[in-house]
Amino acid sequence: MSALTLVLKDKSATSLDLSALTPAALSGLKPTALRRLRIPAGGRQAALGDLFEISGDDPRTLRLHGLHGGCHRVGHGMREGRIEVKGSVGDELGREMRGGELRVSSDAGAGAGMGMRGGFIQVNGSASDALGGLTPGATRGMNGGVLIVTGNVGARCGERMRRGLVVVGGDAGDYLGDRMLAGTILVLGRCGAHVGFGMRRGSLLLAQAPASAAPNYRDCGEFEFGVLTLLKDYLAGFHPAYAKRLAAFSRARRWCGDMLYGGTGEILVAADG
Amino acid sequence: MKINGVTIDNTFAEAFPMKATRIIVTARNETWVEHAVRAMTGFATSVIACGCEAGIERRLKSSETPDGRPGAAVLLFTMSNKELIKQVQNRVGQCVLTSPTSACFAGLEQGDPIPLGKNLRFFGDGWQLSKKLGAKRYWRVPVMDGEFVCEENTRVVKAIGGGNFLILATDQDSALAASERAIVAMQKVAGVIMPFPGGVVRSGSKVGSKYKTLPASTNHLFCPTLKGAVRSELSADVGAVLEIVIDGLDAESISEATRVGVLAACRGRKHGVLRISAGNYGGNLGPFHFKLRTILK
Repeated sequence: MSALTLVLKDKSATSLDLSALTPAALSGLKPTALRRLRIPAGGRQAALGDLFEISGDDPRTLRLHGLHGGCHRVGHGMREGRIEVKGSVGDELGREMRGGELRVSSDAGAGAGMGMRGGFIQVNGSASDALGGLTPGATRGMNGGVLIVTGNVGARCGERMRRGLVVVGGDAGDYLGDRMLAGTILVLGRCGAHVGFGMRRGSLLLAQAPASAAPNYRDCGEFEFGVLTLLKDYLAGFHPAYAKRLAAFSRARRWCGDMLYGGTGEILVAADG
Repeated sequence: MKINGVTIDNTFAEAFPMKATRIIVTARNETWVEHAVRAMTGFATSVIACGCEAGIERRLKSSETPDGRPGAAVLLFTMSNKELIKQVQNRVGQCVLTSPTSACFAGLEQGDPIPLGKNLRFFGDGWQLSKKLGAKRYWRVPVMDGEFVCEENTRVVKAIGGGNFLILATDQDSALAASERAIVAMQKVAGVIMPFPGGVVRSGSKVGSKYKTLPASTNHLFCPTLKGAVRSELSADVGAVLEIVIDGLDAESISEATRVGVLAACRGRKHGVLRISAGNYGGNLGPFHFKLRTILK
């Protein structure tokens, strides 16, 4: 058996909702049924076979090639298996994902990992706003799993995040960890304004100090944090190179806050950051 | 059966089921690891009056511990889950949490979870922080030298307590030297502890007493000073007897510890060891029987 591979035929096709394409949803489908599978495509329904060249027969690993920013909701609700995307994806990558592995070779749109509860997402490019954020109507954002973006991310990364680990290899936009409830966000580049606004608990690990100090945070001093060694080992299972970068946090300055919300959240800034 | 001139009695050690957990304690350096684990495993020689039997299984290199610092693996044994929960909480809370630079982790991946840092976290008085990494949750409790990091749960497994053998020698010095050789060899076996002082016990006991309030009393049949007064198990040339008690996570570990311990005790020239025996209760007390001659075959 070989990995089920779908190559987008028409690069101009936009507004494709690919939420139906998960390893679990496609397992057991015969080739004919697979080709006839209806996909929302810009206000109409199109057959999967008309949109994609299909090869391979093992949906436990699903390869989506030639995607672009108009291909949305890749890996929506995914629970198991593996999706490998060659190209970029649109909004809501891995929305409400619960398990499995999802890798994108280039950029992702807004809301990647929104409402995510488990599994692993890696975007080898940049991601737009609301990474690991909330689904519409929800009170909590990302609630588990690991989400790595090697490039930059937009505003409100980790908004109302409850659990899990987000790693940003590049820069983060404004309102990083906005109203965060718990969990961990590591940013290896710079971050924008209003870091940790309204944060209740959780940890923001910043390799570089924010340009402006968060107003409702209090400086607690510089320390060694044993828990970061545990985090380093955990991250090494997903991205060894980024785990090594945690060495910069061997000593970190701790800011606790948001003091308007109990002060049990923290911003840890690498000592040499 | 003889090993290096030492008679191996045709008998067995009788052991009984226990509950056990392994806890890993780390600290800034070996000195503070030692302080923490020695305090934690203090007054833990026998469940008869200590609540648990505990000991240091082995020292761990930095590369072997969860937080990359020097550490030690400690095994605790009790007769019930309930008692183990209490002992873990009290001993970690009073001896590890209090020890400078310490951290504490579960040392078993299998078994039923019981609280490790789950309740101790409340020492943080609301300032404690949780960090869940994968399936494991850790608590960070603010203390005066920084943070005490402790895994939320440890695991309990079925284990065996009361494995033992007796070293019968011509005199105290010979018995002590043989015991020391045995303990050094047995400490290299994984999954076992010898909970008595230095791993050795001189007050071997029998069940019951002429005094109704005592659950156990001296094993008079193995006391050399009573040889003429009772139906002694000792021949005229035996001047001292020492016992090594072994608690283990499984029967294989106890058997291996017994084997290497007896061989070490019998090693050398002019060792003064006359016999190796074992303590049992006729097979009526514990379901685990460690037959000396089978183990040493």
